[in-house]
Amino acid sequence: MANIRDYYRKNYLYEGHRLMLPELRDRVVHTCSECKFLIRIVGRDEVRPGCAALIPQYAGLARRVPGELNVVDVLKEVGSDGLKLVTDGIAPHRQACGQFHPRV
Amino acid sequence: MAVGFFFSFLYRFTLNICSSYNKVKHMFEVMFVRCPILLADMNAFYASVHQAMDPRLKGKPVIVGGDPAKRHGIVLAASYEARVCGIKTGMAVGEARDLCREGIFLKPSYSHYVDFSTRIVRIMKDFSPLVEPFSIDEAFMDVSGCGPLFGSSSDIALKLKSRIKDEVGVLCSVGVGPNKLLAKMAAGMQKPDGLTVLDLPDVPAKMWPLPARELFGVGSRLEKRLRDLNIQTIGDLAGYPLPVLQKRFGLVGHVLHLSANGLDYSPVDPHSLERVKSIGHQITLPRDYYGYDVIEVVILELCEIVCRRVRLGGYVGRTVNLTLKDIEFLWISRARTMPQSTAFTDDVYSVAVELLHQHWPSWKPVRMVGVSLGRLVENTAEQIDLFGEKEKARRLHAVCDRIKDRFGEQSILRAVSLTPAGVLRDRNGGPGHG
Repeated sequence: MANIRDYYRKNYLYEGHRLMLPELRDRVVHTCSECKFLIRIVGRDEVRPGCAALIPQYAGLARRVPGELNVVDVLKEVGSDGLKLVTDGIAPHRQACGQFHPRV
Repeated sequence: MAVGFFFSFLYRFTLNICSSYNKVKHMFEVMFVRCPILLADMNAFYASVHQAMDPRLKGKPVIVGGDPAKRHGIVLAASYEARVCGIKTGMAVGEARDLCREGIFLKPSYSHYVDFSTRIVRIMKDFSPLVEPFSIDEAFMDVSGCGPLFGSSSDIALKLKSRIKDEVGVLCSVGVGPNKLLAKMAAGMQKPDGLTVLDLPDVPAKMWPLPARELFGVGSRLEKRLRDLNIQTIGDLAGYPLPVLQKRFGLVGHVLHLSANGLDYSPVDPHSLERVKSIGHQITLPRDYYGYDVIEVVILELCEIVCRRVRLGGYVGRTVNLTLKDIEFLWISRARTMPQSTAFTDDVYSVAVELLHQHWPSWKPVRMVGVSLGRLVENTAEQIDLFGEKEKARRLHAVCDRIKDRFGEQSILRAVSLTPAGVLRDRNGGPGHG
């Protein structure tokens, strides 16, 4: 490190002491748009983003997560309350959550 | 009558002036937050997560520790109820069992900790986009300019604490200060569930009487060297002549001097985690390993994991670092920089083995092995070789990576992993070993 200004500018005091789990780093750095579970829920009048991690069938990656799902299929799986949960507050720019799984 | 009216007028006038003054003062306080940096530090995080997930554990001594059978037998976190019995982080699990017979001992569950931690960071980002996670249970936040939206920094800290408690279910201590250093020092002053504001004028009274070891950035080795200079407290360090510190410690001496005086110019960098400097993995072996042949197997397995992570991130690295710990917990860490950046297992392995042979005698038992690849850069250009060997290796690694992506990390292994010396086959490969 050349001088004290660079030392602080490069955040060296904290970079050197940071201990981060790779899994946590992935979630903090990425957003929902990079997550496999972000899908489009296609309804009759509109299309909304939804989180497939909240649909039990797809949560454990036991089944391949599709790019989009028809709203009727989601209703069959999780009911109307579940549908609200799946689409509520989901936005592609949100910071990834604990369920984050990167798109390959 | 006239005198009474005059005094009444004077009283009202003064009251109005004071009220306006207070309003203006509050407005300025809100607009220009004086201590804009917050550090949220979760209290006994791992134990609190288990208590939040299972309400039956609330109020009970919960101890999160490794498995002594796998030689990971240390206490990682203890709830405050357990700490009353004398349990401390880093203590052997066996010793903790003796101290706290009624303690509830749990194994760590890293996926849940990561989930809780991301939820906390999400809450913090609702207040300000300038959030810098510092570890799994700590994050800095810069609330400059957030005053008109959420009030003063103390108001924000209170709201943050309340939201984390209600929405996540864990308690946190929040430190508030004009810079990251003071926020960090403040967060440690009141635990659990504390809120401490540490401004620059408070430094002589609150910080200087503390031992030098308490200053952020001073470890056990530095503390020893400071003691040689008869520096016992932070106050001693603050008053020590700067040229002497600089001569003795170089740039670090200057930083120490500024830190002891409560000065820190580091920014809260929300993109800090996007830059990866090194990727590593280390393993405590299930038994002590003797001889190069068996240690080399573990090194190869570690290189495989590290290089896969490096490739997944789209990086290549140049500096190989090998860490080894013996049965007396004495460790060495040696590094070598390669002429070219790589993400191939064989390249990293050959350097790590060279380091092993050079710095570790074959008769010496090994308890822990770690490999990391540093000086990472984005893999944008590649120097190809004359006979296509690199291309062959690249294609081989790409195929293995695709198999692992699809079928899991254990789906394809090196044959040596199936020998008794291999350690990764029986592990889940999850977080916590890295």
